[in-house]
Amino acid sequence: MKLPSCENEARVLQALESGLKAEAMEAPLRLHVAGCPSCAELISVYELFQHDSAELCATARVPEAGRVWWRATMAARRATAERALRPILIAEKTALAVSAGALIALLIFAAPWIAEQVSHTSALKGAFVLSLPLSSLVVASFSGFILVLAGAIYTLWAEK
Amino acid sequence: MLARAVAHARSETLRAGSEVQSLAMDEESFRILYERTARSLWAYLARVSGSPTLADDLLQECYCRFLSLADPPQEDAHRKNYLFRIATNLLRDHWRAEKRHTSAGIEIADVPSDDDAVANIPLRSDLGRALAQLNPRERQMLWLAYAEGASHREIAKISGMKENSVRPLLFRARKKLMAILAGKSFVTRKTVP
Repeated sequence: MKLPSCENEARVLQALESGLKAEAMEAPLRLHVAGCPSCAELISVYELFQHDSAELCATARVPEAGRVWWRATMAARRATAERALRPILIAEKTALAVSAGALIALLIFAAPWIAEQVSHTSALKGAFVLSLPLSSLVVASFSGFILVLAGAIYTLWAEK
Repeated sequence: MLARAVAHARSETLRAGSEVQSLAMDEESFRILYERTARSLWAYLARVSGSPTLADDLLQECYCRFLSLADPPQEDAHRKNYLFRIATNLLRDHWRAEKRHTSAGIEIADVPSDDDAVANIPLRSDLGRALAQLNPRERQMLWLAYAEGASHREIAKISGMKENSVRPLLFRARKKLMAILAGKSFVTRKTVP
């Protein structure tokens, strides 16, 4: 759909922006505006917005430049610090992941031995004496638990 | 031991970070730019958003983002356009977040509705109320074109539209505004009979 806008609008707007009032425009343009509803409307809207803008700018209570500068400086420092801390955070997370991976690998590797110990224990029904390998498994499990707990506490502390 | 080493590294890094100031310009240049642009940028934000409070918040954020640019524009006109572009993006982000909050069922108490907000802006003319009945993109285009005197190319760059689309959209927005100002009922949605 072709819109019925006037081709002279750009010229009219240019004249308005250069500070000319409608009455002070060049004679041909002034004559055109007098007979063109679209350009007349453009002038009305332009003047309305200019008036509103001037009024808003006059009543606007913007903060002082120094305050905005200070806030930007703080934001820049924070961003710089975050950027600088990123490798440490990555290293921490990597260490945690490697530890967890090692623990899982150890469990998988020791699975046959654990199964053997469990079956050995079930064979000793009624006996209350733990074999030496089983007691070492208990110690190892306890140590692993302590390590995981320490890791979790450290992670929480590091986050704080 | 390890924890102490990491803590030390952290504090050293933070200290180093606090010494770095990578702002786009020096304070004096910023002050000049700010004095020249802050009020008109605030007016744009207030009129387009319909909320002076939101305009206050976003104004500072605009300059913070501008100052954090790695390669800021050097010419004054470009700087001003860039600030308006940042403001437009911030407004868009705000509306998106607002929509997400609304769809998540969270009530937003500090963001007034268009009508309430417009009533908060002191105005002798009815332009604010009329603008509130337009959609945000129409408000942006009209303000940029007639209050800021931006060209179609500048409007396209600021609002992220195609340059060719600006002229017809701006014309329609102007017609719509004039109809509202003239007191005509401007139907924007199809009503079900």
